[in-house]
Amino acid sequence: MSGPELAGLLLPLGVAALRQATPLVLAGLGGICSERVGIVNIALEGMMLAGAFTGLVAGRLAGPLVGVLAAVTVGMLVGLTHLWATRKLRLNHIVSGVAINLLALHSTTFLLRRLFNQADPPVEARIESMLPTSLFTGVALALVLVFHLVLYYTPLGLRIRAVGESEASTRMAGVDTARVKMLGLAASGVLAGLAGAYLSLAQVGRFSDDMVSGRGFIALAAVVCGRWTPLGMAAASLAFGALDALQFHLQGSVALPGELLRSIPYIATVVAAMALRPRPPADLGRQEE
Amino acid sequence: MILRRLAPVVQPLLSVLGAFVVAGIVVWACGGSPFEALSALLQGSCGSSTGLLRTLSKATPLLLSGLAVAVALRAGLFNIGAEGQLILGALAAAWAGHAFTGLPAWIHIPICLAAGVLVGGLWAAIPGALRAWRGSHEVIVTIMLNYLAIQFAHFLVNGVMKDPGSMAPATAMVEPSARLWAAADGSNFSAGFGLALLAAVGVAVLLRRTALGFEIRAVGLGADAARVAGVNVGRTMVSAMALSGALAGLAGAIEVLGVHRRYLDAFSPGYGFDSIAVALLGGGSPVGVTLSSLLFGGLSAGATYMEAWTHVPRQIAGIVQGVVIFSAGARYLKGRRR
Repeated sequence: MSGPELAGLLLPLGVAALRQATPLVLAGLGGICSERVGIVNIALEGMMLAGAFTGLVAGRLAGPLVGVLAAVTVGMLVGLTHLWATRKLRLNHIVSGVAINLLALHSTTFLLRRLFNQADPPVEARIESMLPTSLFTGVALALVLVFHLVLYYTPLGLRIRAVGESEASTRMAGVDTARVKMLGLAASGVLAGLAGAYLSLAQVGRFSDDMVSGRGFIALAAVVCGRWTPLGMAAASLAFGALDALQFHLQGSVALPGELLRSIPYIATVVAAMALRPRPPADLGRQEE
Repeated sequence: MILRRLAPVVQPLLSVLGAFVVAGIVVWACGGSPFEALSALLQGSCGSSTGLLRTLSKATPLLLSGLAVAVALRAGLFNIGAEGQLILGALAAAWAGHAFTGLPAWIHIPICLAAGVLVGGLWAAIPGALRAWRGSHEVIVTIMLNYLAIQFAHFLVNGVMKDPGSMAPATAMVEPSARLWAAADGSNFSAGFGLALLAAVGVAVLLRRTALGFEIRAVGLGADAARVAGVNVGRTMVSAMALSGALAGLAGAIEVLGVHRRYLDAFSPGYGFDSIAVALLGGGSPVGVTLSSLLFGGLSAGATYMEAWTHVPRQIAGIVQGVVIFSAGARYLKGRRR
């Protein structure tokens, strides 16, 4: 195969990979924000779904940019709800995450039927004016760099990492740990909401039932595979995105079943959890007493 | 003091009540009548004998997978993977149901149930073993295994296991000798409900009266203390997860043998996920799980009826579930032991 031919094959594949990886990178950063301050976040899925829905509804009413703003706001509120439930109600982090995911799934499907039409599936809402995906991809990649710098080279980053390792000792050192956690969970919700807005406002231009379909969990898997670091998470997300693009490209043309390719991120995560023994932040999941 | 003693009973009741109030407000805010919706819900779930049987039939998979989550919870483990275990258990039962022919029902049915139990148990033992010996978090692993199970079942049922005579992605029908008795009134009520109740009794006996049950509870209360007391913590975790998966696998097998008579792709509307709400509301005890599975079964049976009569989307039942998890899982009283 000649050089230009190869480039002609790889370039669209690379672009598709970036498109698939963008929501994973955004939500993955959200996962890092939350888990680095000690709050387990399986609610990323629900935050993305809430963001995707709100983004679309607000986008139809007032334009896609307002939609993004609304998605980010609702994401932040869901993030803060997760914090409130785990700290004030002293809910187990997993339990709160499950509840948030259920509530997001069922309230968006409920509202979709109530607000748009009465018919049962197929139900979806569309939007005409979409945002360019490259805008989100650029923002996502820039944010990875920003997060890397903030986390490892600023006093705030040191505080965030310290809270995740041991909240009690960080509090002893005079840091307002409650504020750090609030910042982390607010940022987590903002980023997951942005990832949801990307799906509904930039990638497909519509909202349908359960449209996030597990991307929040894959983003969390990327966080684990990337050992809770922005750069590692981004690398894992790009790998998962590339697999997804490849799977789409090969569909029907190769004997390899699509289910197998689609399964690779899940297998990779289980293998990573087994072989790498990734070390989570020490205080991750600690319950308020 | 009295408040503390009553809390295990009062809190679930209050959280259910609260969830219904929240759902009522949502219905009202969307322009519906909450009272009409509620009365349709009650009518559909327990207003007629068919409605009651439908409630019990919906409660069957919820009870079994709720027990599954509860057993793991008692060992301090979160089995988010009941859905995947249920799917693979169903697939195994469907295979055993049509692969063996010419057997009498009293041999064939137990073989099919055992296939579901075995496959579900083995699938759940993976996260148990990874947790026990590699320290991998079971929540991450079970979530991933759910997706793997869904993809794998999808692959099989669209390929080698697909019934060539059927348009739908489904296996062949199971032999008549593998079918559980079922009511003919369209309620989908089957003998599976009785099996689920037996399983609940079995789990209660196991947790209270056997060495394994004692070890499971000890590990759940504190793994380090249990280890010091001589419990093999790793082995107990694997056993608890395997037992949990076995119950979820049984739920899937019963859905196949009692309701669908074959494995149909994507047949589960998320029983494995709903079971988390069932187990939490039931406080992890077999009696509590039985009661809460009846509640959620009724909710699910009534919601379909309510949607048809009042045009309130049935997803409102899911909102009730979400609020219940929030309020049932919360610990309002400081320092209360769980």
